[in-house]
Amino acid sequence: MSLVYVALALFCIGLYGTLTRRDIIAVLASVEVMLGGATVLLVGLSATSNLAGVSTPPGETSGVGLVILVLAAAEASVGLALMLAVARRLNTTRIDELDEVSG
Amino acid sequence: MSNVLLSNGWIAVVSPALFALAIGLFGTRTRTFVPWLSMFAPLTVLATGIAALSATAASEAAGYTGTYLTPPVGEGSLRWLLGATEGIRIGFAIDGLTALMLVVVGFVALMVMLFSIGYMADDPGLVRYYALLCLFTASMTLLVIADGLVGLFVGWELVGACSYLLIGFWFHKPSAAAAAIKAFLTTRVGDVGMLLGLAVLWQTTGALSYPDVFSAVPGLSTGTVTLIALLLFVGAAGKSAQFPLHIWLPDAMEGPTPVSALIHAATMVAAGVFLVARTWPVFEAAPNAQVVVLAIGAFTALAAATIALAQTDIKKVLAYSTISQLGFMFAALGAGAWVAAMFHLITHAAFKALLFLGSGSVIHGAETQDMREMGGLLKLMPITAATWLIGSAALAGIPPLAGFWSKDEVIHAVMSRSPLAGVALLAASLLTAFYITRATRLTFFGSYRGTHHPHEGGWVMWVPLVALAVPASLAGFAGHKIAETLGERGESLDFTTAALSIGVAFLGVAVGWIAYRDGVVSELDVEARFGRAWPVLRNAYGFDGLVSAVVVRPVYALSDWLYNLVDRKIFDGAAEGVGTLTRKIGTGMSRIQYGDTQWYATLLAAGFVVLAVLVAVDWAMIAQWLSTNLGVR
Repeated sequence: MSLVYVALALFCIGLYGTLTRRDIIAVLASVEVMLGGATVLLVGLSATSNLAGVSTPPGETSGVGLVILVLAAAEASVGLALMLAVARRLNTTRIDELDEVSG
Repeated sequence: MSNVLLSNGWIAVVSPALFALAIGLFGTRTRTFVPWLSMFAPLTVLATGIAALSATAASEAAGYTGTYLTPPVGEGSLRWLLGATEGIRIGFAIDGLTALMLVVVGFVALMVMLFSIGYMADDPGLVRYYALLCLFTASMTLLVIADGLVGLFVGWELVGACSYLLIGFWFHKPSAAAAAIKAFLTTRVGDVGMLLGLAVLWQTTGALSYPDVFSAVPGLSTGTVTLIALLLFVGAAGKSAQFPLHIWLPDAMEGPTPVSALIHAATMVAAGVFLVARTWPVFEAAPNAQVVVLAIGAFTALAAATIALAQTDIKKVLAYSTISQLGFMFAALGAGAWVAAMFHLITHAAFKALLFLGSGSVIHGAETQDMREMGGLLKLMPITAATWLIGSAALAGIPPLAGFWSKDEVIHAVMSRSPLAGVALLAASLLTAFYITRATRLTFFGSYRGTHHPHEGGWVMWVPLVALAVPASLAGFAGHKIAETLGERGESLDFTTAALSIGVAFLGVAVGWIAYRDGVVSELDVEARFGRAWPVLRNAYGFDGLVSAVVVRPVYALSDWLYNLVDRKIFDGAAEGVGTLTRKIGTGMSRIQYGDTQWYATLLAAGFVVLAVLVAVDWAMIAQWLSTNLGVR
């Protein structure tokens, strides 16, 4: 049960960082934290057969957790590549300076 | 052969229509053959008409109690507009009246097509011209062959459309385009009246085919029948150019002259007379409507004849003459003598088509329509001159030519109904004899005043003239035969009226002959002598100006007003308002899209929270809590 609170805490910390940090690398790292929270929840679910009244077959969701790890690695590399391109082109890594669509 | 044509009467409608379609689609590749090919269209109609005439003559009319004039020699129908109801019957029925009209339409159309080969030879629109003539033949045939008012109305509108297209045949000329629109709109006024008449008829009797209508008429109140008859007459007056809807016909002379001969002299403009004769049982039950028809007819006959006196354009003389002669026919209808009206329709079709084609020949030769630039054509164009003399004498009412007999019957009938109207018609006859003599002297006598070299056209142009001169001189003797074909007994000549009208005709011719002995010099002399009256007549009493002041300009003003207020402000305003509103909303919304990614993410998270709350909260529980603890319902 406590795993749920850990997962929730990770998610909220990540969300706070995503919304408040101005540096793109920090924002990207915060997104990874949110993703980590969700993964923890999935792995935690596979450890218990009955979580909050929902019965889950054991071992099922930990597989999903592994898939997410792989996807997260891919996502992080794509995100870093984009960030690198932005930094080279616009000469900044501050997210609040990237406002070209501002009407 | 005759049986096949009669029992399949649709052939006479469908075949010209197919010719029109084929010529319209493929005609340009076979330009030289088109005119000759086209002639099969009126030939079909003429063959059907002749077969019908002989079959009618052979059929036993005595003891026939049906609602047609004579036992129909060909009939057929199909149902149309099927739906929840049993639909509308649309069919054809050929009785004596239809047979006569078929012969007139077929014969005149044939002559006009032949004549046009010469007249329209160099026209680039030749193929379109013949396609339209074929379409007109089909439409006019449908109009006369229909066994009910629905079919008649379809034909009625189609001939109107053909008339519009042919008046505006030379549409690059602004005056022709304007004349076409004027003719279309003016006759449309009449057509609306007629459509209303059909609506009233359908509402009160539930029938539109002639037999059903005629058997239902005795059951209607006099007021209803009078209303129906008057509304039908409005349509007839529009098509037949009766006062005050006559204004389109003189302008219609902008079309090619053979078209004027076919549509605006012999057939389409006579459709109004045909309509009243066809629906005579309705008019018979409405004596008040007859009085209106008589008054309008007699007035139109006289007024148009006075206007014809002063015209200098040879076609305008004939146009006003046509209006006047149609007035004679309507006066006869109003006096109850519909047989005399039909008789006059037939003779008039012959001699007026002849006169129009004659004028076409003159225009072709002299290259002008102004009679003041003609003169002396008797020697230069002898065949045209000779046939024109026959036609004009028939129009003037000189015995024994066709016009005399029919006009005599008309005047006699009108005289016995209303002496005043009869005198008006006699006066109109006097003027008729005068103006046609004037036109003849100015055109054919004296010496040539123009600068061209007038000559006869080829045989294609003079053969129709000669062919039409035959009925123009002899049709008068067929009076009894025509009456019998219409299921009535022929009138014998009334000697008092005959003496009067002969006297009047010769007086008119004599006065015209003497007054215009010096040709155009006399014209100037007359103009000087009558001072201000002559321009007034030449200008048709300024009625066009009156119409444009009373009708056209107010309509324009109303349209402008509606355009500026309703269209520009309300409709355009609504359409543009939607656009403006969307843009405003867009501009407003774009303020929150200012490029701060984290602000977007914050909104996204907030939206998720709101949705999550909405999903999670048990609304029913809250409602219950509110009602138990706070008494809120």
